[in-house]
Amino acid sequence: MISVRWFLLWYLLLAVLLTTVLACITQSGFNLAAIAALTGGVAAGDIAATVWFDLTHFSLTYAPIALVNLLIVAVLLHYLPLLRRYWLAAVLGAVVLYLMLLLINTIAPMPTLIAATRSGGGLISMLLCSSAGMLGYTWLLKRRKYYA
Amino acid sequence: MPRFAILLALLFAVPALNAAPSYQLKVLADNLNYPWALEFLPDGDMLLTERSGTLKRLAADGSERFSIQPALPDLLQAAQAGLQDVILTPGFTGNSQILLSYACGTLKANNTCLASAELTTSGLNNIKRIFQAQPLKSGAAHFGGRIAFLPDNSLVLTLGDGFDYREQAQNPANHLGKIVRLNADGSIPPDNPFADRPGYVAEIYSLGHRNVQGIFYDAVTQTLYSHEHGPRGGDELNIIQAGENYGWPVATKGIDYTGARVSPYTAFSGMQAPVWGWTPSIAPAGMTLYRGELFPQWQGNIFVAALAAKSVYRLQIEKQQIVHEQVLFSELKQRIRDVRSGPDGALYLLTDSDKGQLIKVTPAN
Repeated sequence: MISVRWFLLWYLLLAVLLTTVLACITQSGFNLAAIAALTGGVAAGDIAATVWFDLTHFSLTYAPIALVNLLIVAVLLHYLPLLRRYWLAAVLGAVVLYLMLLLINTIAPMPTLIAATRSGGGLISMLLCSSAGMLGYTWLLKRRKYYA
Repeated sequence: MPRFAILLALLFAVPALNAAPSYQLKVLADNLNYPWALEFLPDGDMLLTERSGTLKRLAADGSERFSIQPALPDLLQAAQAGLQDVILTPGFTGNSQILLSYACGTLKANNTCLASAELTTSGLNNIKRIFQAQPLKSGAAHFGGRIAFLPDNSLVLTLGDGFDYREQAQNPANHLGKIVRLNADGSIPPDNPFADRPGYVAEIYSLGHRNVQGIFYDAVTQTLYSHEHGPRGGDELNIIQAGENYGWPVATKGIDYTGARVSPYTAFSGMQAPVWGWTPSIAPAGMTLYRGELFPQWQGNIFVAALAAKSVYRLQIEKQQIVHEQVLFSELKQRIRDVRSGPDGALYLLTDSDKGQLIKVTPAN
């Protein structure tokens, strides 16, 4: 009888959710900062509305990216126990996203698909969102003692 | 009974008055490689550009007189980059001078260029680059590239924001996301709106544009119209006035292709609102004003070629307000790159593909 470890899927989806929410907020933050630099500031209500808009719209584009990103790293951790360290999981999350963004920007007709990643600061921030997702995933599995 | 007859007559008459004129489509040329622009010569011939860098001279029946690859300095061909618009200078009958806009540079360092050349029976002579937009930037997107002459024989050249550099459309110290005004030799008219203002490049005519790919001057109403691509939604038709700011990326009704919000504002103080817009996007490409005689119902209407919408939008305008819109030629199921009003009163379309066509539209009868 095959036992299905459904918690692995749920933990991965939780990590994707965390990464997507953080990425949406990051995306909003960098776009709003750019607009604020041109207009002299953005009102709190406009900031909140923009973050909510991105959480409900940009997330539809970003969640599949985050899912593929974290799934690749989760598979690596599953088959390579030596990688099951917090810092390695975080670095792998960032590196795999970076490679995915390179691929996406090569395939997509526009030079840079995700506006926040046009700048070095924005790119690093988005990579850190993936790192946070992988840290959360690893923590959940260590907490359950699935990872040593 | 007579009242009933009058009512019946009105019921049939009103739709007939509003009905679009019937037309016929004739393919004049095909197997064109991403044709981009069409210009009419005084002798009835046409000049046609292909994004791949080819300039063709066609007879009025579409037959080819020549097809050349002009030696444009640093021509860049990639994605949206390539040869773009062609226009005769006001002094063409005397000096045979034409202007060509094109993407120039390398994938890592490029922008929009303008070249002048002398048209001969077999090709071009004396090709000279007379303007290059600055700064040079990376990527092969958003070059603008349409040209129109103003009544004083100066020209306006539309430019793009380079996609990744959208905030630069608000930076008056460079050409990204601007419409620039030049003389036909590339020099700067001294009465440009920011000619003497510190911190502004002197060529700027208007700013705050994303990717302007349609422009014409209507001599009757003395109005300069342009349209520009929005991102996802937010395509705009604007009336261009010297020195004005058209808002991109601060004021827009579009959002990023990813669904992210570009800006919280759809309008902003001190920035010009469009006179018409399209959300979802139609991807407006070429544009023309119809002043021909073959279609009296279309007199004074604006025609906008649409890539994504695969059709042409006819706009009726009264006192600088759009009062009616009609979608035409959707039966072609083709991306339309350019639409031009010919001197013979016909409408001419260029379809956008590697097997592009030049199509002439005339009345059915």
